[in-house]
Amino acid sequence: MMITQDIFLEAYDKYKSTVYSVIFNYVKNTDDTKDLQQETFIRLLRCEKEFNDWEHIKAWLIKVSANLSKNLLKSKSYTSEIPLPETLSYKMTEEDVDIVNMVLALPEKYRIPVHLHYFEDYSVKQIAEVLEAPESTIKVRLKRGREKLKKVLQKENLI
Amino acid sequence: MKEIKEKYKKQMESFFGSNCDWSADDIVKLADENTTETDGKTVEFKSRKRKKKAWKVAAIVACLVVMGTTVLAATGTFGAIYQKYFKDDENGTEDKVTLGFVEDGNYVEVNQSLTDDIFTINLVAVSGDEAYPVFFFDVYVDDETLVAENDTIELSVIIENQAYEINGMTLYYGGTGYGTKDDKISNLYHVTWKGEKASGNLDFFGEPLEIRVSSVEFYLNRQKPDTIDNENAKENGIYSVNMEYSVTLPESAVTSTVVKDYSEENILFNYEDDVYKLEYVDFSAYGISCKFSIPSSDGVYEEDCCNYYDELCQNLQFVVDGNVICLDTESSTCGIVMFEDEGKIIDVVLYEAYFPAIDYDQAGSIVLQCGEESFTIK
Repeated sequence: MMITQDIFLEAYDKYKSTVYSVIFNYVKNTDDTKDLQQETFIRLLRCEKEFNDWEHIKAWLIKVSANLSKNLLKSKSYTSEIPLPETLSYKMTEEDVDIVNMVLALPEKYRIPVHLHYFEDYSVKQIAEVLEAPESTIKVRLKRGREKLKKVLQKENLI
Repeated sequence: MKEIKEKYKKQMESFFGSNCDWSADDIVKLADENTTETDGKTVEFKSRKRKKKAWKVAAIVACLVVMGTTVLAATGTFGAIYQKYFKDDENGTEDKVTLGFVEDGNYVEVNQSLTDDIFTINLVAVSGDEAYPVFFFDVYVDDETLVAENDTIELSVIIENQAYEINGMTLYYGGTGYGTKDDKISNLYHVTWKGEKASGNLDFFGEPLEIRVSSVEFYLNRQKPDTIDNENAKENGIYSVNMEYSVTLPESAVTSTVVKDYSEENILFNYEDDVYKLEYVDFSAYGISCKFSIPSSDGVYEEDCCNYYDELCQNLQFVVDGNVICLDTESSTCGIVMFEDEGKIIDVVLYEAYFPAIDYDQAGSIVLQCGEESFTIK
C-alpha cells in the first residue's frame, strides 16, 4: 500500500484528529500543533514506504508526530513553559468534567500513553510500538497515569 | 473510569473540531510548494548541559564506512529522495537503519549551500543516531566534461567540534563520503557521509560544528590511484574546494544512544601479558562500539601494538540474555589518539571493537566477556 494522492486524502480524513491530538498532548499549544500536524502529513505525502494496511499508516503517523513534537520541545526556539490556554475550546455540557485539561496536567511520560489508550483505544503493546519503549515501561506508566488521574478526580469529588 | 475515557474522547474530538483548520488540499498544495525546506543557515539549538567526559580527546581520525548513492527525484524533498536511496540494495546502498530513521522523522533539514567556480555543495540534512550521524550533501557540478565522464564522486569531509580546544587543537573527525548521480538532473550528485562519535567524546549535537569539505574527487570506474600527485591533483581527479559550513544541530535531531562511560571506573581485562582498560560502550542502532585503552606509564608504544589488540579482539564477546554476540572483525579498528591529562597531551592506544546492534532496553542481561574474564553491563 503506497501513498497515492487518493490514499493520502483518505488517510488525512481518517487520522487528522489522531495526529492533532497526539501533537497537542506534547506541545500543548494550538499554533505549534497545527504546524506539526501539517508537517506530519506532508511527510506522509512524500513517504515512499510501503504500508501493510490502514493501521500501519496510523501507527506511522503517531510515531512521526511524536518524534516531531519531541524535536520541537527540545529545540531552543521553543519555550516549553507555554501555559495552557485559560479555556480550551470545546463544547461541554454542565455535567461534563474537564477531562482534557486533567490529562494535559499529567507529566508527559504518563500523559501520552494515557492519551493513546483513551483516545485511540490502543493496547499496551501498540503504545509500546509507536513510542518505541518496552511494554513493561508503558504498562507501568499507563497504570501510574491512570492512578494520578483518579486521584485528581477523587479530590474534586468527581468519581 | 470507563465513563471518564468516553468523556475524554468526546471532549478531545470536540476540541479538535473547533481548532483544526487545515484541509487535505491545503497540505497537498504546501507539499507541492516544497515548503518544508528551511531557509535558516544555522539550525536552532540548545546548550548541552550533559556532564563532560573525563577523557578529552584532542584529535582522532578514523576510517569510515560510507555508502554510494543512487537517488531518484532530485526535485523532490529530502525524505523522498533518500528513502529511495537507502532502499537500493542492487547497488549495495541498502541501509535499513537509516531508512527507518528517515521514515520516522528522525532527521533535521539544514539546507546550507556554498559555491565556488565549479561546485555548489548543499548540506541538505542530518539523520542517523547520536553515535553515528549521517550527513547528506547535494553536489552540483558546473563542468560538462566532468559530469559526462563520472557517475560517482567522493567528498573529503572533516567535522570539527568548536566547543573543544586543548592546547590549540580542536576535536575533529574526518572521512570520505560517496555519492552517485541523480537520475533526472545530470549534474547533480547525492552524497552521504557517516560520522562517528569517536571515543565517546565528539559530540555532533548541541555544540557548534565546523563542517569542512576540502575536496571533490572523481575516479573513473571508481579506481582510485595508489598515490596522489598533489601538483597534478586535477589530473588525478581531485578538485580542491574550501567550503565551511557552521552549524549547531539540535540535540533532539536524531535518536539518542545508550552510552556507558567506564573511563573513571578502572575496569581492566588481562590478556596475555597486557592489561586493557574498558573506557566506553555505545549501544547504537547501527551496532555496539566498545572502546579499550592500553594504559602506559611512559607513553611509549611499540609500533605493532595494534596487533596485540587483534588478539584481544578474538576473545571478546557480548552475552545478551544468554546469546553470544560475536565481534564484527571487519569494522574493528585500532589507533593512537591524543588525550589531555591534567593539561598535558599524551598519546594513548585506543582499540575500538564493533559488534552487531542489540536492543539495549529490551535486553534483560548484557555481559562483556574476554576469555575467562567477564563484566556485567546490565
